[in-house]
Amino acid sequence: MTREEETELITLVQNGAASAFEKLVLENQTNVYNLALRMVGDKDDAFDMSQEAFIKAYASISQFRGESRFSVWLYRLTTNVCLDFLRSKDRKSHLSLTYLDEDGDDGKELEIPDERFSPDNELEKKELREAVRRGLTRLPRDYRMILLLREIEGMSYDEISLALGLEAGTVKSRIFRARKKLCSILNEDGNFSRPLTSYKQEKIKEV
Amino acid sequence: MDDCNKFLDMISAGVDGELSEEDSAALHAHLDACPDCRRVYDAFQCIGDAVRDDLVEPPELLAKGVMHKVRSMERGDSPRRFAFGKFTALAACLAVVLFAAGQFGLFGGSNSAPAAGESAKSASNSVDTSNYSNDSLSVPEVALEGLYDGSDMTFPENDEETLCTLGESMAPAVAPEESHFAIVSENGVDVTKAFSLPLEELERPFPAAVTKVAIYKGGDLTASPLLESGKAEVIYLLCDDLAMRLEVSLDDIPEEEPLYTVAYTLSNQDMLARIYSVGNHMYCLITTRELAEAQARQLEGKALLSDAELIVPKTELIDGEKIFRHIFYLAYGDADALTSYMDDLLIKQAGK
Repeated sequence: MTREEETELITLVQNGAASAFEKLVLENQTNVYNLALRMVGDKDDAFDMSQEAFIKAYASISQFRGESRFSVWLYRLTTNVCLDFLRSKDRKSHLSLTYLDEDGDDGKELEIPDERFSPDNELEKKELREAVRRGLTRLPRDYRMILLLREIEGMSYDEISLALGLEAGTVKSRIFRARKKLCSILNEDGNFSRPLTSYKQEKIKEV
Repeated sequence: MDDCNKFLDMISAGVDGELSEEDSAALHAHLDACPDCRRVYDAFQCIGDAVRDDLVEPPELLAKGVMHKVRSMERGDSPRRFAFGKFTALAACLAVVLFAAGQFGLFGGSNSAPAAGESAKSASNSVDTSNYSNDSLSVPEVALEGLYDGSDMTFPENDEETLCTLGESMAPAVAPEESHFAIVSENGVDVTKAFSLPLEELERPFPAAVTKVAIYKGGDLTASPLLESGKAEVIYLLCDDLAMRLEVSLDDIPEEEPLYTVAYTLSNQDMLARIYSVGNHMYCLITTRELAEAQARQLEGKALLSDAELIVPKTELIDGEKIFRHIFYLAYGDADALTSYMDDLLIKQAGK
C-alpha cells in the first residue's frame, strides 16, 4: 500500500466510511499482532491487545493528522495498550516493577556473543529464533518495546523518539543497551549457547 | 583494540543505518579489522533477523473481530460489551422472573411445550411451581425498563392473574403470543422481546429445573458467585451486552451434544463449560467438572469426558477468564466466529 493509498483510506474512514478501515487493519495486522505478541508473550493476550489497539485507532482516527506514518501512530497505540495491560498484570500479581536505570546500564560489559550468531549459520537459525523469542520475554519491557519497534516495525530513530516521546540520544543508547542485554541473556540461555570460553572472556576484558 | 570502545558504541546505530556516512565508513573499516567487534555487529544483526523471521500470521479472527466492533460502533452501539474483570456482575445485575409454560417441558426436552395459543389458564395449571420459592429469586434492584428505549418492547395484554410480581405467590405466568418462554420484569411486564430471544429455538436442552434467573448488563460473567452444590449455571447471551444467567439443578443432562466442552479453572476449581449454539446465539452450561462427571457416570456409566477428549489437556487448564473472554467477547452473535476460534484452539492443542 502506498502512502497515498493509505492517506486516502484514512480520509475515507475519517469521513465516516467505517468499512474502509478494514484495509488498514489487514495491512497492519501482522506487525501489530507480532508487536503485541512479543510484548505480552501470550497469543490470547496479544489477540486482545491487537484488537484493542485497532479499536482505539478507529475511535480516535479523527486525531490522526498524518504527521507520521499511520503505522507509526498505530504502533504507539499498540505499545501503550500493551504497557497498560502489563502494568495491570503487575498490580494484580503484586510483582515489583522493573524500572530501567537509564544511566546505570546494569554495569555489565558487553559480552561477545557466541559464534552461533554468525549470519551464515543456517543450521542454527531455528534455534536462534527460539532463543531470541525466549530472550525477549526476559528483557525489561522498555528495552523489549524499543527493540521491537526497531526490529519488527523498522521504525527509524526519529520515529521511535516521536512515538515514545524520548530524546534521539536516548533512543540510540536504549536500543544499544537492549541489544547488549539481550546478548547477555542469550549467552546465559543454557538451551542455546555454550558458556563463553575463558579465552573469549579475557578478550572482552581487554576491550 | 584501541578503538573498540569507541566503535562498540557505534555498532548498534550502524546496524540500524543511523550513522552518518563518515561514521559508517569508519565503523566498517574497523569491523573488517576487528573480529570481536564484527561478532558483535553480526550478533546484533542476527537478533534483528531472528525477530523478523519469527513473525507469525495473526489469527484470522483478528480483522473480523475488529470490523465487527467497528461496525457496531458505527451503528452507535456501545463499544463495551462484557467487560470481563472490569466491574462486578452483581452490581449490574438485574433480576427477573423466568417463567416457562408447560411443566418445563421445553427444558427437559421430553415433555412437549404447550401448543401455541393454548389458553393462559391451562398452561398455568400445568406449570410446576415447586422449583420456585421467594428465596430463590433475586430481588430486582433496577427496573428493567430503564435500560431500554422501549422501542422493541411489547407490552402484551396479559391477564393480571397470570403475571407474577415478586413478593406474591409464585403464580406462573404464561408467555405471550406463541412463545413458551417469557421474561417478566418486576412489575409484571413481559420484556421477552426486548431481549431478542430466539423464542422459536428455545426448545433446547436446558436442564430441567431453573431455580434462579438473573440478567446481566455488562459485568463480569466469570466472576460467578460460587456455584451451590448440586447446581449448575446456564449462561445465555441475549443481545450485545446482556446475558441471562440461569441457575439450574442439573437433573437432566441435555440430550444434545454440546458444540464444545471446555475445561478450565475458576477459583482453583475445575470447571466444565458446555457450549451450545442456538441459531446465532450461544449458551454455556457451566458446572463444576466433578458434578458433571458424577452425573455422567450415574446416568451413562461412563465418564463424561475422557482426558483424551478434553479440548484443553488437564495439565494445561486454561484460565477461565480468558476462555470466556473469547467465547463471549469475540464470538457473541457470530456462531461462525466461535466455531473457527474453537477449531483453531483444537488444532493448536492437537499440534502440541
